Parts: sequence; structure tokens; C-alpha cells
Amino acid sequence: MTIRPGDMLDSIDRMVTQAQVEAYADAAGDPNPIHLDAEFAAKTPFGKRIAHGMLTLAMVSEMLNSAYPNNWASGGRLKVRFRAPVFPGETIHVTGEVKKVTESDGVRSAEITVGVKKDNGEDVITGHAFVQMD
Amino acid sequence: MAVIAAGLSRFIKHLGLANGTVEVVHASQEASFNRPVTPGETLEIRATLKSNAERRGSRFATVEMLFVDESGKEVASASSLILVNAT
Repeated sequence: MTIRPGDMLDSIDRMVTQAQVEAYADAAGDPNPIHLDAEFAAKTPFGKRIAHGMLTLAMVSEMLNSAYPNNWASGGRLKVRFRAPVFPGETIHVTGEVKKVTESDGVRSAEITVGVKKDNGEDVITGHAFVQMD
Repeated sequence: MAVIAAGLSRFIKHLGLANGTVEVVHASQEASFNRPVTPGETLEIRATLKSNAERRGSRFATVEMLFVDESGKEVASASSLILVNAT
């Protein structure tokens, strides 16, 4: 597989909906009211319900799995920060760019800069992923 | 990623932080995957509260998790930083 610094992964653009948040809360077993209870969320600094960080991060994983179907789930790593909450109804843009490719003991590894932004350019997630290529 | 989300939710519940009396915010996440997990598998989650410190009125907790299959092999690991604020 050819991989070079500067390669862009196929991005994902998706609106996050309250229905997705509710389905995710059920699937992940995370009933935190900041995601589900509008009255509770109104009293938090966010002022309204927010999507789970892991729901948004799952889209980063989806992008990496599409780009590297054999390598992401076997040997993939990532390190990210959650910079801002996503409010249901917002559209997010998930991107990845190969930052560098290294080789050690015959194994090539790629470091990929990953990010999630909102329409207005605000960072939601920033970080890096690492995938072994061979 | 789903197993990590499920593990983290369970640990947050176990710590008594999921009842709406506090605000829990996910600040950062590390994860590594050794192999895909297939439906029907049973995993053991070994979770450790690695650090728990109060800074500027917020509590910062680091949760480390290991996901182990039925043969005792580690299939994934994760480290999560969460912020806990009183509401």
C-alpha cells in the first residue's frame, strides 16, 4: 500500500442529531443527563444537550477504518483531545492527513493528524492516530 | 471504539458519577487496538482510577482500561481524562 506524507484520508461530513445521541446513549450504556435531559443540560455551562465525545470520536475511527480496513483495528492507536462540545443539529467535518511515515525493523508506520471541526471552523477534536502499514 | 465507550460508561457509573448530580466532561482519550472484537465475544474490562486531582475547582480523573479476551489476551487498551464539576 502506497502511503505518503500529505495524503488526505476520505473525509466524513455528517450532521449529529438528538436521535443519534439517544441511540448512542442506549448502545454505550451512558445515560448521562447532559446528553439526554434538556432541563439538566440548561443548567450546565454548555446551556443545552451535547453529543457524547465518544460518538464524535467514533466517526474518526470510522474514517480510519475506511482508509486502513486491515490495519486500523489491528495495531491502530490514537491520542486526541476533546476541544468543544457538539450540539445536536450541528454538522461536523472529520478529516485526516498523513503527517509522516517511518520504518523500524521492516515495519512501516504512519502518523496521521486527525481532526473534527464544525462548519464555523471551531475545533471539536484534535489529535493523532498511528497505523502500522505492513 | 465501541468497547471503549461501553467500558468508560460502566466505570463512570461504578464511580457514582452518572446520576446527574455532577457534570462529567470527557477531556481527552487515548486508545490502542490489538485486534477487532467480534459479536458474541466476552471481554473482561480491567479499569483503574489512575489519578484523581482537584485543580481550579474541577476534579480531573484519569481512567485506564484494559480489555482482555477469554484466553487472557489483551485486545485493546485506553486511557481517558474526565473532568467532574459539581452542578
